[in-house]
Amino acid sequence: MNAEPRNANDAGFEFPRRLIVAISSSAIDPLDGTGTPQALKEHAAATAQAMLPLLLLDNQLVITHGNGPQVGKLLLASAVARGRITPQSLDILVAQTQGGIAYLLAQAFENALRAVGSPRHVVGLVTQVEVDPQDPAFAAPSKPVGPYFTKSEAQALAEQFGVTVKEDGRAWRYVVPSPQPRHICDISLVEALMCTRTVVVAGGGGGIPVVRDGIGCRRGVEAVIDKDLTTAAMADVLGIRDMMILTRVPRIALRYGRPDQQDLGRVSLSEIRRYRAEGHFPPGTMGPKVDAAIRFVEGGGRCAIITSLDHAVPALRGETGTHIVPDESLDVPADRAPVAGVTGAGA
Amino acid sequence: MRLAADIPRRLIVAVGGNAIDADRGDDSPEAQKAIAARTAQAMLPLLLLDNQLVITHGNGPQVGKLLLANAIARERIRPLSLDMLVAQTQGATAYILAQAFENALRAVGNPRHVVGLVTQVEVDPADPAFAHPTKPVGPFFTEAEAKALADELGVTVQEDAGRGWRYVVPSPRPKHICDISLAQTLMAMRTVVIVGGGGGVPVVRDAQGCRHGVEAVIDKDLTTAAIANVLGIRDMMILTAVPRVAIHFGKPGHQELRTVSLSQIRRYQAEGHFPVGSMGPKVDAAVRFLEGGGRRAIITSLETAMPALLGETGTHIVSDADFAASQANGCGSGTSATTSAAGRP
Repeated sequence: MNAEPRNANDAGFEFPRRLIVAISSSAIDPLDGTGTPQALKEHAAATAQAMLPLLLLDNQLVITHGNGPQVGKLLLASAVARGRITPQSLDILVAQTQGGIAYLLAQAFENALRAVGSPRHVVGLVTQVEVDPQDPAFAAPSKPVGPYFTKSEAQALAEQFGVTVKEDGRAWRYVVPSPQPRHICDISLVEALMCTRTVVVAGGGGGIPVVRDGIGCRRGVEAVIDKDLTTAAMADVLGIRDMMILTRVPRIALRYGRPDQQDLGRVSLSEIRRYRAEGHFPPGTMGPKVDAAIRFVEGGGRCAIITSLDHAVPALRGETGTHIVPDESLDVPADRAPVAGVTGAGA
Repeated sequence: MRLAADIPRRLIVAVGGNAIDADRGDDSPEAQKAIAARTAQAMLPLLLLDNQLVITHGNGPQVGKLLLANAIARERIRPLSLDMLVAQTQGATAYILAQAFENALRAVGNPRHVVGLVTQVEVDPADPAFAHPTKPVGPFFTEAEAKALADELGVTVQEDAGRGWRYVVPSPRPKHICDISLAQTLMAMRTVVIVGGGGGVPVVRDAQGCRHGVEAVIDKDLTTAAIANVLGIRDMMILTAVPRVAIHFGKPGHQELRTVSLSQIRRYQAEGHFPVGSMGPKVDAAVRFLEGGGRRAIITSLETAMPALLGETGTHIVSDADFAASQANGCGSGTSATTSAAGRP
C-alpha cells in the first residue's frame, strides 16, 4: 500500500504523484462582503503565493474550493433586488460562484506561476454533483447559508420564496438541505486534464447539486453539498490517495480552546473515529473536515492532511498538519512512512 | 440526400444569450431551464454528429441582471467588477446549457459528455476601444438613477436610442484565447466543449505574463471566430434570430443571402447593410474567420441549424475561390446546391 512510487523534486522532499487540495472560501473572500474587486484579487494573489510551492510540484493536482461568502452575497443580492429581478435557484447561484471563483483562482495561480517562469496551465471546470433524492437531508434542511436577516425580513422572504429560515444565534438565515455527494458528473474530464499536468479547479462549493431521473436526465435541486465531502468523493473516483484540506489552523485539536488542548499530528483512522465519537469536532467547524478525512481513508486514501494554507507545504513534507492515515500505516516506522517526521500527539 | 462528407469534422457553433433566457417575460429558473431544453432539442442533431464540437454563447441578459442586482444591492454588498460578473455568467450559463444538452443526449440514449470551461480572453490594453466606451450593457435606468450610479461606481452611462440610460463599456477585439489547448484536449475526446461564454472574461497581460481583468465586454462572435481559427476549425456557425442574413433588411429590395463570397459580403458591409447593433458583429466575425483560415461561415437561426449545415438554408459565407468553384459546379456540394441570390450583380 505504501509502495506507490513517489517523486522527489528540487525541494528535496518526496511528494505524492497525485494530490487533491480543498481550499476554504476564506482563501478567496475573507472580508464578508465588504471586499472591493481589487481586494478580492489581492487576497487571491496571496493565496496563490502560499500555494505556489504546491503548484510547482510537477504532479497531478486537483483543487476544490468553498463558496460560502460568495453564494451568501448572491442570495442577499437576490433578496434585496427581488422587486426588479427574478431570484435564481440555488443550483444556478452555485454555478455562478463556480465561474466567478474559478476565474479568480485560475488567474491568480497562473499569474504566480508565470512570475516564476512556469508555463503550467490552470483551468476551472463547472461541476455538477449528483445527490440522492431520497437523502434524509431533504426532509430536514439544516445547513445555514447566506446572509443574516432580521426576523421580519426573514419571514417575508420565507413567505415569498418558500425558503426555510431559522434563527441562528444572533439573527435569521436561510437553511437548506445538505445531502451527501453520490456521484461527480463527468469526472473523466477532470481526469483527462489532470493527466496533462493541468491544475484543475473543480467541484467548487461542493458542486452544483443535481438529482438524476430514470433515463439519466439531471435537474438542479435546492441544496448545498459539503465541499470537503465532495473533495473526498472526487479523490476516491480519481484514484487520488493524498488529500489535503486547508482550514484556519495548522492542526486539529482535542479539547480545542481549553487549557489542556492537544494538537493532533499523525492519527490513525480508528483513533480519529474515537475522538469524533467523543464529540471533539463540532458540526459547524472541524466536524465536516474530519468526516471527509475519514470517508477518504475508508475509501482507500493513504493520507488525509488537515492544515492551514500557510502550512500546506511544510505539512506535505510531514513537518506539521494533522495526518489521518489507515491503522496499518501507523505500524510503519516513521522514516519509511509516506509522511514522515510527525509524532502522533494523539497516540 | 447528403453525404456524411458534408458534415465538417470540426465545428464551432455560437448560440445567442437568448439560448437560455427570453428577452422578456418569465425569467424564473424554471423558465430558463425550459428555454435551455428547447435550445438543446434544436441542437440535438448537431450534438449527435460524432464530430468535434465547440459551443460558445452570449450572456447579454445574464450579465445585465447581475449588473442591475449589483446596482440595487450596492449599499449592502460591494459591487463586483465586470470581469468577475462575466465569469459568473460563464459558470451559470455553462451549467444550464451543459445540463440541458446532456439531458437531451441521454433521452435518446447517447452518452456524450458536455463540459463548460471558464475562459479568459486577452485584449490589447492599447485597443482604441478603451478610449471610447461604446457598447451598451445591462439594464435600462432612468437618467437620475444612471447619473447617481455613474457618480458612485465610476461607470460610464449614456442615453440609448430613447429607451433609457445604460452603462456603456469598451468592447475591445479578442487578441488571444487563454489556455485554449485545454479545449482542444477535451474536443479531441469528442466531448462537447462550452467555452468563451459572453465573449470570454476580458483580461490584459503584463510584461511578465500576468493577467488582470478589465472593465470591458468582448463580442462573442469575434471571440468565436478567434477560437475557431486557433483550433483550426474551418466551419463556423453563428445562430441568431433569422434563418438568413438579408440586404435591404425590412425595406423594399429586401433580399436574403444564400451563398456569398468574402469579397461580396465585404462590399455589402461597406454599403452599410448590416447594423452595428444586430447583424454587423456577426458578419464582421464571419469575415474575420474566413480571413483567419476558415472555410465556411454559416449564419442562421437555432431552429434551422441542422438544415443549414446540410446546405438547405442559412447564409453561407465562403472564400472567393470556393464561391467560384461552387458556381462552376452548379449543384455539386452541399453549400453550392443553393443558388446564390447574392452572387448576382
